Amino acid sequence: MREWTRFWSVTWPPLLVVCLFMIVWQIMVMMFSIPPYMLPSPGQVLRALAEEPTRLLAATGRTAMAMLVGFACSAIGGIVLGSCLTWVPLARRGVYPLTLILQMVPLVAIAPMLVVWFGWGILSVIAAACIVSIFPVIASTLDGLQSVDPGLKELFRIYNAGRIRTWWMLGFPSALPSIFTGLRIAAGLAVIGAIVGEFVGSYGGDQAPLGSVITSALKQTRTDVVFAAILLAAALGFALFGLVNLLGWWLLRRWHTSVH
Amino acid sequence: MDPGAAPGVELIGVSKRFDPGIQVVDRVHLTIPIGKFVVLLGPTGCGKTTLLRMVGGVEFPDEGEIRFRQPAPRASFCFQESRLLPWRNVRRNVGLPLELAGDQHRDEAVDAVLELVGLADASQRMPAALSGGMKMRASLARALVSKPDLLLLDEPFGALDEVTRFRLDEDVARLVRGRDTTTLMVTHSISEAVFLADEVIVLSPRPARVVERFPVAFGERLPQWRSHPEFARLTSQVYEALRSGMGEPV
Repeated sequence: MREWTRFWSVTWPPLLVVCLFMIVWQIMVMMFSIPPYMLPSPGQVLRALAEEPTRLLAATGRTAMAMLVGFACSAIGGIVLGSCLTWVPLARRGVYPLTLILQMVPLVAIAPMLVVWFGWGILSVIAAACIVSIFPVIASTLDGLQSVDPGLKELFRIYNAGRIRTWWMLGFPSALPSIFTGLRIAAGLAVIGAIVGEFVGSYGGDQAPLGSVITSALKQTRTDVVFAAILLAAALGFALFGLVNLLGWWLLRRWHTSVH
Repeated sequence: MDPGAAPGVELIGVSKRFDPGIQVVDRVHLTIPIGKFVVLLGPTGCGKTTLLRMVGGVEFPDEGEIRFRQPAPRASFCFQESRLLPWRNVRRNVGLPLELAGDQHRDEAVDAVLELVGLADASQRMPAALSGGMKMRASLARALVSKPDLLLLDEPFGALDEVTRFRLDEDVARLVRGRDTTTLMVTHSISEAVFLADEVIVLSPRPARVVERFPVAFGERLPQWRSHPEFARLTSQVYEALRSGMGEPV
């Protein structure tokens, strides 16, 4: 019961803001008679959602799949790469600045190349989601591993613990809070990567994911469908963020101050 | 101290410099017989911790030699900070050295040592839920669990209040003294040194040199030892040696 009260006390303020925003939006559209192709009202967006729920939900499912696989690749790849860079100082000095390129080059600019390399379809979308979200994981892993308590490192040295065991039993757990900060950022970026990947490498027809739904609806000036798809994409991002948060809370709940 | 006792650790003319050219330890000769408890006492920053770390093999002397009776003695450290892994409960922290050594039957050893230090009931608690004294008990248990040949205590109770510190000193006396473990301890506290040691070694300000040695020929170290006239006499002698800085190096 107390859990619910706490949950409710956290959720009602943003919910209230969203409701107020919807009401103001609806009133503005009605007052200024804005045509639906420019800005559909919230009601029209909801109607578009209800019109063809199966197609939109299936599209959401396909985007979710690409986003999840891309995120998993960036999480695992980022942790492994970040750890390797900590072990090899020369590689850190040489490779780390280059990983910044992943962050600096706009995804939209590389996305067409991904289609050339991975072909039309889900593979290039997964690659886009992974590329855009891997940098925060590398950076946070590196940061976490470099800030391990020197006293504890010395303890493991005294016990003659090898490199892998020291990583598994000391480095990785003490870097976890920092890694989760990176993963939270990566979760938001993965959905952006997936949608941009779908814009460029879209595979339409019955297999259309959310990104393709958006581009084809725009061509038909079905702005209400565009907004419905955006809403679903945002929900995906929220869901992944929530999932990462939940996992972080579960892993750190017993010892780390960030979750109290 | 019994002059005929076999040396567990022998330091022969040990010196250490830190860059750039700071002499920290200067030609220290020291013998710690097997199973004895030796305490290094000296002013802050005099190099006593460096000396302890060299004995533990964490740092190496620039000159001189450190000899052990066994070729590879099992050394255990207990530091001023508890250095417990915050994501492991007391039990898993205490078992860490055995786990890293690949000991499959560590449960009994961990249970026994937790019982000895009085943490059996707190074995499932996380470090964040422990008091300062309990953390140091866990740290001490971790140092003792592998039954070390050489126990190195680096001001382990320096951050605790006086009463807790006295209690922990009594526990150390009960757990370590009179066993096979050879112990070297570094401390700032004169009364702690006299309470625990078979021999108190007073060091000079940096670079550390041996100024004076005080053998403490007293039997069992129970709390009553603190109110013994001999305890008061030794304490004031050690204090004088520390204060005057000094005298001529031995």
